Amino acid sequence: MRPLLLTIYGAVVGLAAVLPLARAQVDASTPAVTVQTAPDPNAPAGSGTGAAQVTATGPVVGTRYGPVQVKVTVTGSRVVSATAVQLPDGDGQSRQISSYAGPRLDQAAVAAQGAGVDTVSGASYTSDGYRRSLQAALDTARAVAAQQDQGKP
Amino acid sequence: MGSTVTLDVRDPQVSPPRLESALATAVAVLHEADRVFSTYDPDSSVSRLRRGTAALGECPPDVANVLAMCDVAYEQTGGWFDAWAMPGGVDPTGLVKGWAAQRALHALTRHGIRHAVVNAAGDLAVTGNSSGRDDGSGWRVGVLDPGDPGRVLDSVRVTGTGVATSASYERGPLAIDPNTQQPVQRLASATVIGPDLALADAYATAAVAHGPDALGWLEMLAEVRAILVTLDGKVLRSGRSGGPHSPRRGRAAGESSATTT
Repeated sequence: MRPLLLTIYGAVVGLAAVLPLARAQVDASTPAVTVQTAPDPNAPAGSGTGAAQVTATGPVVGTRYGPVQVKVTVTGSRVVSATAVQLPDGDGQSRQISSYAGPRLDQAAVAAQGAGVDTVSGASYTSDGYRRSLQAALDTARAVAAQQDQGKP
Repeated sequence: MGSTVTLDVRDPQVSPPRLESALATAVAVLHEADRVFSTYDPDSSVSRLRRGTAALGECPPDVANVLAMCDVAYEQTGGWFDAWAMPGGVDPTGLVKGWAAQRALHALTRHGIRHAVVNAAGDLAVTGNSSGRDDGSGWRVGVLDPGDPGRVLDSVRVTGTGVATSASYERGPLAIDPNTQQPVQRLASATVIGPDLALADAYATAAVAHGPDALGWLEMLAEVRAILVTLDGKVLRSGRSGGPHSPRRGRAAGESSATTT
């Protein structure tokens, strides 16, 4: 089989912990995930209802092609967008990989969540750095949004 | 780049030390599989076997075990999976990813993990329920549209099973036609659902090489279901119903849906 890149996470009651067991070709990432919340732009004005929209920016993950960082926006438990805010662009080849893989991975990530599935068969994520940063941002954003949902009367 | 493997454990009550121990064992299983079977590593057992510098008896026993499974896959696919007809020598790669992922899941369950998925770049094995509760909900597995990977083509609800997909979303043809030893792609994608992920992996690989006629031998396989997408986007399904988590069978060609079954 091809060389392994590993992403590992355990989900415990809605929170995700990225355990530092993955080795191989990805450098250790900083664990911080920045979270911003805003009122759901689609909720009726003044209604006091509607889920908050949470935007989480994942950690910068070092890969051998350069840094990868992902931002994800979640409303309630539903992902509305996933974009890479940093993609490797140090050399021509990694630029090519990033421009091809970035939007496709975004679509797959959003589609998987939007279709209400737990996981997908057939997606071959070519960037482990993207996936790790996306997953950390995604899980944190969902957990924060879910907690805010529970806090409503 | 390489194969990304994701391990997702949903047990809400597993202690952190037990989780770490389970994951460490599962990771070790995956690294060992990579070390033994990688055809990208010239020092792996399989690379040496292919070059003829090592005999099968000098390789770890898992190599013989995997080749025995390749033998089964050869028989079950009517020769459309043939590890011995690969360029460069015997090559079990079409089955190894599923085999390794299933063994990694076994490592988790041996540590008492009851709800988990191991997903090796799209070939995955699940146990328990994604909810982490004993509610029979299983895992909802999406199958991507090979013509539009932003779209989930179909989903199945399964547990205690494997789902393997062979497709080329980004690169060229992935399958070798054993008759010609040339790369070929006669289906846009093949997804196989069955109790053994290693064999499901082999069947998906064989189906992409064979084409829509693979339905012939797929229908003969007990406990195996398949979702095939043709090169012009038609969705074909095979498989017997049976058990609470199986879909209805008998969907006509050209009928696609995104419903959860």
